Amino acid sequence: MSEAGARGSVTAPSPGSVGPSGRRRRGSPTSVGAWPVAFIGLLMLGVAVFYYWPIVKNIITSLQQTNAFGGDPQFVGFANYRALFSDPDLGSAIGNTLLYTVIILVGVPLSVIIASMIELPGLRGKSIYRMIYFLPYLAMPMAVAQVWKIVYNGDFGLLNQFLKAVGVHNPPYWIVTPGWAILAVSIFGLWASIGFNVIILSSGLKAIPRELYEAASIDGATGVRQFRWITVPLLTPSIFFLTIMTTIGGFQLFDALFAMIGRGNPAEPKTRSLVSMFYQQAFVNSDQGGGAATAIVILAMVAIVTVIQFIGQKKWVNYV
Amino acid sequence: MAYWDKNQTPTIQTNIKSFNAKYPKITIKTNLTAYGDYWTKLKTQAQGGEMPDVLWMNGPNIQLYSSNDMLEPLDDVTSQGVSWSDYPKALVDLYTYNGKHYGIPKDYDTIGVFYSKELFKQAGVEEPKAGWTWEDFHKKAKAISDWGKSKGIYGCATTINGDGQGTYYNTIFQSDGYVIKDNKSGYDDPKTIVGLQCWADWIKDGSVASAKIVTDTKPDVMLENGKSAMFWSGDWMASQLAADLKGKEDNFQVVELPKGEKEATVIHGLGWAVSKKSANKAAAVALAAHMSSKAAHQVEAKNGTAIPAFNDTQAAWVKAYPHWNMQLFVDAATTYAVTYPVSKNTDVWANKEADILVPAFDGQTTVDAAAKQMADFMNAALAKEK
Amino acid sequence: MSDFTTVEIAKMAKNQGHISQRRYVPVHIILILGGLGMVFPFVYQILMSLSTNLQIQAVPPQFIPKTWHWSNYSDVFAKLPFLHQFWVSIEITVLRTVIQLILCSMAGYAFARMKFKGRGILFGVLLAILMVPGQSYLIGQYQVIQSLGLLETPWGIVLPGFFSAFGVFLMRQGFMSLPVELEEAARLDGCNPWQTFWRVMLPLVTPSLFAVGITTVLWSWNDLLWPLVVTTREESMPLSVGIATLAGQHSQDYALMMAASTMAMAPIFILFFSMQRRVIEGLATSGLKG
Repeated sequence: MSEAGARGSVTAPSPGSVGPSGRRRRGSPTSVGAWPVAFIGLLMLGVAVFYYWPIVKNIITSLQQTNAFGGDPQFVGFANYRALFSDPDLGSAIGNTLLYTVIILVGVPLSVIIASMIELPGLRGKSIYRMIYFLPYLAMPMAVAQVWKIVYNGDFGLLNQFLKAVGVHNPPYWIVTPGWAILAVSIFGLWASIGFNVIILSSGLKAIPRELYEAASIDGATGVRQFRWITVPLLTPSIFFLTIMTTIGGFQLFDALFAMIGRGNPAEPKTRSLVSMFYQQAFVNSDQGGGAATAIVILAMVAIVTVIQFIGQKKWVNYV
Repeated sequence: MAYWDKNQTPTIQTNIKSFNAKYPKITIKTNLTAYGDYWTKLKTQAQGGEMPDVLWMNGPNIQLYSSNDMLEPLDDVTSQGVSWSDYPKALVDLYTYNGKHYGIPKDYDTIGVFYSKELFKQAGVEEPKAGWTWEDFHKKAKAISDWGKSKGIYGCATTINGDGQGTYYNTIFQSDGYVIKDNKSGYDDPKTIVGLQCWADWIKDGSVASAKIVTDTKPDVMLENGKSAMFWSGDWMASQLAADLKGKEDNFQVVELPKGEKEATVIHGLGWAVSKKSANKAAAVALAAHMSSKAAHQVEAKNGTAIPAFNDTQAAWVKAYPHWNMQLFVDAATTYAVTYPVSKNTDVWANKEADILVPAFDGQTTVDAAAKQMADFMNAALAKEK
Repeated sequence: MSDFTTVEIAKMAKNQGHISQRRYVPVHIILILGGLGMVFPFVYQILMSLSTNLQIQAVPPQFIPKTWHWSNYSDVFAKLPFLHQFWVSIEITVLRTVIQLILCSMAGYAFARMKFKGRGILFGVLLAILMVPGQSYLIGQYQVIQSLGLLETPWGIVLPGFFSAFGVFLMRQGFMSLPVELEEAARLDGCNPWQTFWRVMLPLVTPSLFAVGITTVLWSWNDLLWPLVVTTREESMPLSVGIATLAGQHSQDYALMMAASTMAMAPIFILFFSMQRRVIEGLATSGLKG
């Protein structure tokens, strides 16, 4: 295994994969009887009551047909799932969700660059920069979406005024044209994700011992090489975290669509995400069973992607 | 007691005060939730069995809640002084399900055309007059669009992007078509199609702004900013226009909808309803009855927030907007208004209208094909309602 | 790395200081340009809060209001029980943040450093709660809170938020980045797992605690749907819900909304600004010298 294994530390979380290095067994900070229960018990109890129970209920509902308020349930087997998979909108909803997720994932490397610039030792105005880059995350989502809508306006928006100024003829009406609309929302999502990423990465950078850089400098390593060989490898736990969270978050795309696109927008039918389908069924059509089935399918899809990412992490994530 | 419009808080507070003068022992807690969240919240509460005792209801949802046994039938409310003949029949019908009354009309909305006198003057087009026709509308809109093309000005911009109440429901009724009758869709009726085709035609030659345009910049904003000369909309726009256009009210006016084969406007209104599972049912019914009394409606009229449903209390509301001919909204309700189309699960098909009809209006599909598709979808949805 | 004494490092850092500021000019340029894109909407929000609704919706848009309408701010006080709802927001935010930090750091530590059967699976199953659309929890959680008799209470608003898979995951990553040697030393000194966690490890993950903390504060402060569903009385609502009630069915007073949300944002802004310096910078000096 990688450097991490060689250095004999705790590796991936999957239980079967622990490389039993000598140090680990000897100095195991592990296998400590009832301690894990004490550390995790209360949390898991809360999670069970407030999250697992609703999920279980959801799974049951997904096999039923009920009235608009969940009453009068009748078992229908997998009919709700079959209906979902034969829905012609499913394909484009998956496509839009994936496109959005991929675009906001670009925000992770971008944020790594920004954060490592901000945290350069001795750089003046760090805390101001941190503040500035975190701002989008502080602002009220509704207010921000409103501003972006104005920026994207086809006739008067800043974006098109800029494009016209640099010589683009007939720039698109961004948020009302199918195709462009999902891209516009994704770029908004990318922008909105930077603040959170930068804060997480700043914290991660702070945990890297300064001595490493000092030593590298003495060895004559340049800034770029330091970035490549010290910063990035030691940030991998944070990068991994952000990749997972961004992916999970990407699959939950809904609020941005709801705020920026909305019903009646000619681009709306081509801009739906998986969660919009869920919302439509559960909260507009009052189809509890169909909504529940969609929620479970979303869960399954994200879970598969996440498991793949967790397996893949062993190749590139270094824990000290 | 649950409601969704912050602007109506003063009305509600006044009416609660007068209710408490009659029943001093009943305390009433009010709950304001913005419209967008109101239905999500109500649905959650309904599933938890904790619906508010007294609540605002609207047309698309009334049958959903009454057919699923969430609302209390209010037929006995007549013993508390409520008389169904005091309200427009179209509204009483809207809140009747299976022969029982589930809501008492609170207010109503009808549709008219708000327009900018200034743009008409600049374009050299004569202002519309009552009794005008689709043809008149089209000519004027076209003339203004042609004149203002280079400045991005449209003859008419309205909520053609999926809001039937302000736009195509009216033209469907004007061409003697229908949306729903005897639990069957009217979308494939040739007369209905006439009421849809007109929009596609008007948008095609640029007289009316396309869905794309009015989604990017809202039609009320276009009217206020001189980017469109006419705006089909409900009387509810009046309070916003009055606030935004303070000092410039005289540059604007409102006129009846143009007529097609006949005169028509859709009418929709809210109702007061009572939760079936209310723990204080007697008090809740008494409150709903009180809120529906003539005195309560007069308070509503005076505050100018919505047209009160109680017959002959509307004069004060009309006076709240002295610059404009608001009487037409009231007259429409008593003469040619048609009830807003609903079914047991209205939202399922009403939401589909935007998906199917908007592309047809914008010329991407033919209106005939879209109408057929809409009718098929709607009939399937209606069949599922059981 | 431990070949260097503290004095030497300090000296080196000082020497570097002079050179680097000049070297950093391009960095500053990039950060400032990017920063403009980041701040722009926020500046715009403030400008909107000082305009009238008509100006905001003007076509073409008008960025600088001709006259400053401070009255939007006083209107917020008139239209909302602002201070009351402000207090509810503080109450739920403090409660949720403190308890979540405790629960998540403990669980995060266990998932990072304790070996027990099914750890990976349990962690995966914990993360799964983030993978379902949030709205699908609404009814189930409502029924739990209802049966606990906590509707209308701050506890009802915060309880589901105590248990955060996000927080556990972030803390776990924080603990996993710490050298194992530290724990061994602690154990040799006779610390039990709790003491190791509390005295040795936790202080070293302050940046992660800060990241979880500020995120929780923000979510709690801006949370809308859940508090909206569990509260009905105006005085038990947090500010986020109060502001949402300002929206009308057919029209919206954007200027008022922007003023209200600017007022709501201000305390978070101040909190973040004062905390980040102390917490993130503070760690640089304490370091990881064990």
